[in-house]
Amino acid sequence: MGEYLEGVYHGWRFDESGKVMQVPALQGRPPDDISATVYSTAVADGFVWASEQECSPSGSAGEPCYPVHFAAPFDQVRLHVDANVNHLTPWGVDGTMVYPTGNPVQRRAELSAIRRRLEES
Amino acid sequence: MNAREDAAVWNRWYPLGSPTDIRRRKATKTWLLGHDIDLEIHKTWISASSDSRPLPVTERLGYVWTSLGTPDGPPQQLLEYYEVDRLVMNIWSTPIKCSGLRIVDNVIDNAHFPFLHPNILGDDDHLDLVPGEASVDTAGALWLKSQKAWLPLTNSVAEYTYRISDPYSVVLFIHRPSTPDRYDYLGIFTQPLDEENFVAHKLLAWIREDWMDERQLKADQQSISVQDKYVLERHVHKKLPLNGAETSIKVDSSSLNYREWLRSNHVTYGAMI
Repeated sequence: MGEYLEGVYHGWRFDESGKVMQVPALQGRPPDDISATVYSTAVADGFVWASEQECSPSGSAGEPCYPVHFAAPFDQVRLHVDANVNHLTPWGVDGTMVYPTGNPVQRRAELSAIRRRLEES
Repeated sequence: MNAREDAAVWNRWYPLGSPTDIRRRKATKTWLLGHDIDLEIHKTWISASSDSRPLPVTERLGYVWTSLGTPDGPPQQLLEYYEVDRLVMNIWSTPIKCSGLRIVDNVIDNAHFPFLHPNILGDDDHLDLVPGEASVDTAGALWLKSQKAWLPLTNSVAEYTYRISDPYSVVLFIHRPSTPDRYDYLGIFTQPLDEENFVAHKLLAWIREDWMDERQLKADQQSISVQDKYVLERHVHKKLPLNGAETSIKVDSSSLNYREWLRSNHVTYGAMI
């Protein structure tokens, strides 16, 4: 798919073999070779799956293939980061109901709407 | 492990929440270091006990503090909190699913600002990190000074100082260019429920200014904390590795210093050793 995998926490970039390509805090590669473990992955049912062995999620009941623990629905894995967007979560501000953001007026409106729904139910 | 075996953690004070929250929720029960804590709300004070054993309780910095062990003094102090021109509040007390040591490690780490708090506490144009200074004072507290980071909100470089006097808490001093000898304070005091769960009590004590809106400040600070909560709960290891299970590089000096300080204080509860 893409050329690298980027961590959400510190922005380290890893290539296909798991080796660290770039550490932003150092403005380049680290002095030592650092590698991450590489797992076999597959995309199915809208999820990214990973396994230590060859991964085939279809009909994989009991097989050692599991959705990656951050359980990213495939279309929500970011290929590019838009620096102008405030990414509260990887799927952006609009998609999240858990942590409403934006301007406080809107946020208050959202929260009171949730509160009303809860009171009605 | 049983927290009782870790003297460095057992004999400390921990916050149980703000008295206002405890009263509003009519809370009767909470947890600390794997032990049930029973709360009793009286007219003018709140008492705590564990297995019918009464615990010492004191109120300080807007929180109710207790200890399961025998602390060698009162809870940590921040006298500036009581200055009359300050806006002080509990931002929130929120449960987070990992070791409480993790959030201290997160607070003192400036390298994640551009990625986790883009355009709030850092941005893509200022990724390089300047290492600060670390020292341990006579009381044994770890100080991380001259921690500089680009702050897009002010379009300038901000300077922070961190004070870690307890393994499970950190006080952040935000340097104020207009008043160099006074600081704005944020505190993260954790209440470790067990080794892999804690409640983060976040304190704000800023010098009051005209533009400040209490609700807005609270909401903004909560939004930032929520971004941190997102990664804190997604670490492979719930406990804080002190054993090399995680890769750090030289530029993560604050984190390395904190972990070294934990090792030298023999902290094992909530850590991987």
